[in-house]
Amino acid sequence: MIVASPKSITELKDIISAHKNVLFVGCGTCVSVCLAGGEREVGIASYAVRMARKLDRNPVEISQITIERQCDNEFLKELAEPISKVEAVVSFACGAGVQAIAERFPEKPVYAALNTEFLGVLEEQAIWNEKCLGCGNCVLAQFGGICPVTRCAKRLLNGPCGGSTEDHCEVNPDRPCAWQLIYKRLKSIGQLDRLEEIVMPKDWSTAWYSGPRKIVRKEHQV
Amino acid sequence: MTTQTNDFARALNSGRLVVTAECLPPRGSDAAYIADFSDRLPSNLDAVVVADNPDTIRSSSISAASLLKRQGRNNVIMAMTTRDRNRIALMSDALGAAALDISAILCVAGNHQSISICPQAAAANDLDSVQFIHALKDMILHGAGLGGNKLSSKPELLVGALAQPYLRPMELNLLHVRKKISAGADFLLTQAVFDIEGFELWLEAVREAGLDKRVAIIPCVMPIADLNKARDLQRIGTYGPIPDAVIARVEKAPDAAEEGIAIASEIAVKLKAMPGVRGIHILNAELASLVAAVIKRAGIDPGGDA
Repeated sequence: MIVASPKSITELKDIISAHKNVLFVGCGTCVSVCLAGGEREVGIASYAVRMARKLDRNPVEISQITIERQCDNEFLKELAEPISKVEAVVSFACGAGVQAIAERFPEKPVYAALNTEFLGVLEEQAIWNEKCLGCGNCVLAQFGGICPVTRCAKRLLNGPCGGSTEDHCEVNPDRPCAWQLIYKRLKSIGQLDRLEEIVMPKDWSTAWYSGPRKIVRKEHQV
Repeated sequence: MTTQTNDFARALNSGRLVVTAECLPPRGSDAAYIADFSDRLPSNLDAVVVADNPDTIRSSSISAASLLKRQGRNNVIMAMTTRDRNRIALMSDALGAAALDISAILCVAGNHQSISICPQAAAANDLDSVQFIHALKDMILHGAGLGGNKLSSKPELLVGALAQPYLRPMELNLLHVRKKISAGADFLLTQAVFDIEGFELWLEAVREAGLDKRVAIIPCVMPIADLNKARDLQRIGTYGPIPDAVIARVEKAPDAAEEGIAIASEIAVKLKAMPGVRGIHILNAELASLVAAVIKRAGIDPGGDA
């Protein structure tokens, strides 16, 4: 899923300091699951910003709504009426959701309440780890299901760097070295021979480097 | 094995111990610094290896290498990180280096930018060091550039890479060394050697796999001149692991720099005696005088003219 984290209340308060009547919009999908932008978080943030603005002697009226998915036009329809009643919108979605609202409601200012972080998994309670960079040309088959493009800090495709230890990555002692994981995994599934082959330079044209990507699936068009 | 015929290739194949030294380009644009540094290095080194922003932002390796050539150095090896250049810049700078009569490119991934260099920087990481070695070799042997373009001439360069003697498990280490050799590395510089037993274990494994016959192995020694700097290097691992015992020995010594030279020289003597070691590379933290001191004390007089 997409993992995001909330901006601080101070930053949020400053972003909307010029507005007196604002709608906070939560998103019921990824960011709800990662406890950043669901109904609960929107409620807490609304309360906190309202209090902070009161203390600043600059009170603000905040209404709240949480929809199923902000990245889906079907659900954005529900926002037309509540948005028509406010000066500005604060979206608690990922960057895609924020931009979807901005496009759909061209006359309203829209601000992001979250920092969109990465595609990752919930590793344990309240701990998320990045797993995928969305490069558009998946190489997981070659590496035992562990992505060096995402999980090696130097994006090495042919083996570990000099800073690798069996315990951790040289860049962050809290992080395992992806190449130690790949080695162990390939060994345990009997595919260590994959590491003998030189992995040729990756074609990055499928990744973001060519600019924002677009997918058209003709078979699903109506 | 080496495919080129420049003087450094001849030195690697000569059977005698090759001796090289590091040159860290200045943190500014001072060309005179390089001239002065070069003048202080022994004149008979087999090559000077120019580092590429290993620890902080320094003047470019291609510029320093070119200034060393201008200073009359015969064999200059230029390190290039895949961290700071995408494949376009890697190819372009390598061709430029060959035009400047630089002897070899040392292909390195580079220390991570977040470790003391520039944490805010985006890294290129378009190729990794193995892919860079392979691409360079393709240019040298076949005149083929990345992306299918044909070169107007084949660059005359040797290709170097780094080896990590202390990387474990050994099986993973050897896989990696083998890959660098298959990709086309002519010589391997190692991380700085302090733990001689750990290094010997690795070299034995390398010899057992017959890899020392396929590539020239040149271990590095690092005379510690400054205890604070050594502690920093131990923490950030720029040149590989530095054991606490080494730091303690320098700490207890009445003259830290002298002790650093003594330690590096003792290690150089041991390395020289090991089958499979083709040379010694001397790191020096910008202090050219350390190079001559280690050479003298270890009795490893180079026979080059670089």
